[in-house]
Amino acid sequence: MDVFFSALLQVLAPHTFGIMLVGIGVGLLVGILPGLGGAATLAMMLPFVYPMDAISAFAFLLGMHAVTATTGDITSVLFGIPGEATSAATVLDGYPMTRRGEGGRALGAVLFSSLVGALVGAAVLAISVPVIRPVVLQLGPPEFLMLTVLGLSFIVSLAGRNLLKGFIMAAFGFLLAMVGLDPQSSIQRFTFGQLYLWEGINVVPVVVGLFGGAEVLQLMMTRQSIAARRGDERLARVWQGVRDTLDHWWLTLRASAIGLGIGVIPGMGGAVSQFIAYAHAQHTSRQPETFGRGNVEGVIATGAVNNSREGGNLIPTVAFGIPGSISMAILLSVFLLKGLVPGPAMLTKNLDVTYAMVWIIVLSNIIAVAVSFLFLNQLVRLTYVRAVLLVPFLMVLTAFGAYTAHNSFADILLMLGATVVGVAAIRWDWPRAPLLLALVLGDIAERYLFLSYSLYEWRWLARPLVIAFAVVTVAGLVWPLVRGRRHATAPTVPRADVPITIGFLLVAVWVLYQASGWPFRTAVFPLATGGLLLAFAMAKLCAHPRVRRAGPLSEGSGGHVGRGSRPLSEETGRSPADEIDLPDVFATASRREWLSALAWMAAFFLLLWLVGALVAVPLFALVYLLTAARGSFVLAGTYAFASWLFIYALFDLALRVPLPQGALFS
Amino acid sequence: MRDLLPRGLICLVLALSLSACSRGESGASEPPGEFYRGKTVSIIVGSGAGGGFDTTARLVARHIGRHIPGNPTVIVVNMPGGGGLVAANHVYSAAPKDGTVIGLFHEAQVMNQLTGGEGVAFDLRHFNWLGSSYDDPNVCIVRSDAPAPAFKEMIGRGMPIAVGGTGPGSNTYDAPRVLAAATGANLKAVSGYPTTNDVRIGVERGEIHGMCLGWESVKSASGEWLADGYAKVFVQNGTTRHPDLSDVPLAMEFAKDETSRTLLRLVDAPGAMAKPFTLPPGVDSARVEIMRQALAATYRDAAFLDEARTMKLQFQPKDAAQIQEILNDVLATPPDVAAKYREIIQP
Repeated sequence: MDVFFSALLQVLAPHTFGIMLVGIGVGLLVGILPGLGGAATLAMMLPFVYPMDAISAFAFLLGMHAVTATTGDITSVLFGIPGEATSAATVLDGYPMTRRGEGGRALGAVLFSSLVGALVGAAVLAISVPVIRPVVLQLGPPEFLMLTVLGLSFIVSLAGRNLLKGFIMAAFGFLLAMVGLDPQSSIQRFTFGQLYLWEGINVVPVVVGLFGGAEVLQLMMTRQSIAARRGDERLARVWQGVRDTLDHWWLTLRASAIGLGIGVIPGMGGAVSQFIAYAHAQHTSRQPETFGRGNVEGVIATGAVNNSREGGNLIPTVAFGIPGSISMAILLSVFLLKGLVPGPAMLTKNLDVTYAMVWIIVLSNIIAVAVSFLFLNQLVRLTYVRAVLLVPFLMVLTAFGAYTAHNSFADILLMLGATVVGVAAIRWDWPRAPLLLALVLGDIAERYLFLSYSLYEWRWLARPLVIAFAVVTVAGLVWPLVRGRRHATAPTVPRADVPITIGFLLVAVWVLYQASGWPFRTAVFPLATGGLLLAFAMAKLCAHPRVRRAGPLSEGSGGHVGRGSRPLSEETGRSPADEIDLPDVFATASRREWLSALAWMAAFFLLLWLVGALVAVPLFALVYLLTAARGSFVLAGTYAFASWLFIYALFDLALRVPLPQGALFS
Repeated sequence: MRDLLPRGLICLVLALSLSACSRGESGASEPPGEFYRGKTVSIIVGSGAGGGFDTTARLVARHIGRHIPGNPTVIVVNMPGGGGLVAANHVYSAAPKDGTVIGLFHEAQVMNQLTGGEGVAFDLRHFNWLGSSYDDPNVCIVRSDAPAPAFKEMIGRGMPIAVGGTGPGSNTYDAPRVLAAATGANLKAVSGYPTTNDVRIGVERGEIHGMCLGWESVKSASGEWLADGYAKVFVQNGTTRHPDLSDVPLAMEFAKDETSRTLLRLVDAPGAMAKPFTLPPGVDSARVEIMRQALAATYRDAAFLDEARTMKLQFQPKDAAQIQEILNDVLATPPDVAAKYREIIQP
């Protein structure tokens, strides 16, 4: 106990504390800004810790790292643009709340639940380091495989009412996960000979496009602000979010536990845990049907899981010296740099450092949330200004966000492709979350299945934990059935479903044709997935009603995830569902509005490609604000100059982040 | 607003062409010594942030600027993909040839070129090599409680010793395959681990007995295992015993025949020029010389060496001529041996 509090005093020493504040400041910035991954920032900041002592070094880097996840959720909630894959699920309910004018409440909830999650993570880190080692060693590739299966079973709930559509999207996501070099045989799968695709499809550009890109396009067509309704601007709304978190304290704790549990296991990505926590929240909610359209429980679960995972991630790093993620690998190099040996010595000789790390997580999260609360009002106010004014800024967010994946323009193209899918999904009511979940899990599932088989052949199926996870998975699938059918209302069936489904059918046929020539191991996953996609698509076609247009859209709401379209509710504006439903711009926009928005978007990205970020961004801001947004010259000029200064000073000079250079200049 | 739209787009295009014109300068005529003043030199790393290549690149980037006349800013740009293939192709053909772009990608690309790997659009012999960072022979480690911890016992053994690896193209997988084929040791290479850290944890869980990788990585990441006797190095590749490992047998000593010896030499050859820096082909020779000297001076720099020591990195640089010699040697392998190699590493 003495060590525990003396470690706190060490962290609070003015010098160390000051260094930690600098780290937190950088972390807050990195979390909000796109184009800067957490790991890349840590690598860039590493040189600064050479002269520091061990605790100051961790105060700086861990302080920075711990708050990145917190502020990463802010852009997800406010603009629907997730900065990283681990903030994707926050969009699902956080952004609809913002559009409803409840941005303050959503931010309050996500920040406060993040804080609780972080505290839980830190507490468990403090008490579990002595005992965790044998537990983690019980979990090998077969158990990882079962965890991915468990995660995949949540597709059912993420698909909600549109079960078949959800399965089709998931199968498609799985196929996307197969793109690239097969890790077993190095045979190319679905790469079209493109070197860029060898590494597989990176999740970050897909997330940014699927959610963020689609939102930006939507905003370009709307005359309003992001928040469709001017909500209560007082800070009270933020406290409402805090109260929501406290009211749902049990959910907050469970989500934190999920984050911790998955964080402890090296090799499971962060995005997985967020979706599992989200689906868990939906499973156990009293109003599962409102998930995806602004249920605060979804926001709370995704906030809590993100930050508790950080504590979990640290456990194997400290206890074994085996990092669970790239960021942890960089932190591990700090251990070595400072002559610390991860493992049992962290509990004896270097116990003070271990406890100092716990305190750093606790303090930096408290400070980050407090600082964020100070600026919340200003941030939320952004969602009340005319959306077109935000367009140049958000366009940069999406472009830079995608560009972090490989620093390649192909990342941006992939993001734009995902935008097309995202827009189509919103317009014709196809759920996006299953696609993303399958993309994240597909690669892991295949890898660990073959690894389990090479290690144990089929004996892996008999491992006790494998059986336990299987039972949990089955229980999770059966439980909603036992609880009774949630909603009898039939989903509306847009006419476009037929051509879209036929498109998926053709993809499936092409996949089967391609895969049939590969060796067994390389082909088995694509064949199975392609077969499933074919089956689902056929089923969907058979289930499609013969009537040209399914009758008047029912105002009854269904439990589907992925903010969907409710064309009628906007026009009538009377139905009870209007309380939660949002106007669907894609359904109501005229052809001209579509053309104009698409032309501007194309112009921006073409410009970015041709002349690079430093010229394209201010130029686009100037012209767009003058013409499309009909802003004054002063406004447009200031905006353009500010954007140039921002990018040049911060990205180019201070942080030295690689930016698109422009094809004309290279 | 709508009728304004086309005009807005025209403005964009006009402004764009204007700004494009204003940037049409080139700097080939100034004296080589002054060229780098005020410039930014990028080191393009063929892997993501945080790995061994990235760490080495950032360490060099922090110091090399002092040794280049004009003291340019040096930054690191990550370009992961295909185990360095993307970066190698980029530096070979797309990157500017003015000496402001340095490449650092996996030396094992030489095996890729030799075996006619897909996507290889370069000839490594035509790069302007600056120097490599480490002499990093491949070794294999095994847990001391494995059923057969000595290499001799593994040869012709019934039950295989399982060593984990990431996949084909990585020495964690290729090396044990070649070892097994060349010596008859019953090593089973299990591939599919996402990273070498996952392989390490697999060793701790006990599902595999050991792993093969570069000696430098073993020392820095698994040094504890060796120190407390948890694991030991049971065989080393290469032609002579490494000074640190004088009591560990060479695989070469157990080679079945001459072809096997050639195969073993091949699998180890790239390790002798680990983490090599290069300029693209076609860079002005004066600038190549400046950069070669700058890198050599960096490797002698006291501040650099201090920092490397705290990071447990021990540089054993090779110069351009030595790299060229290794490349020529490997790429002169007879086609039938190359085909054999390719066949062995096929899963």
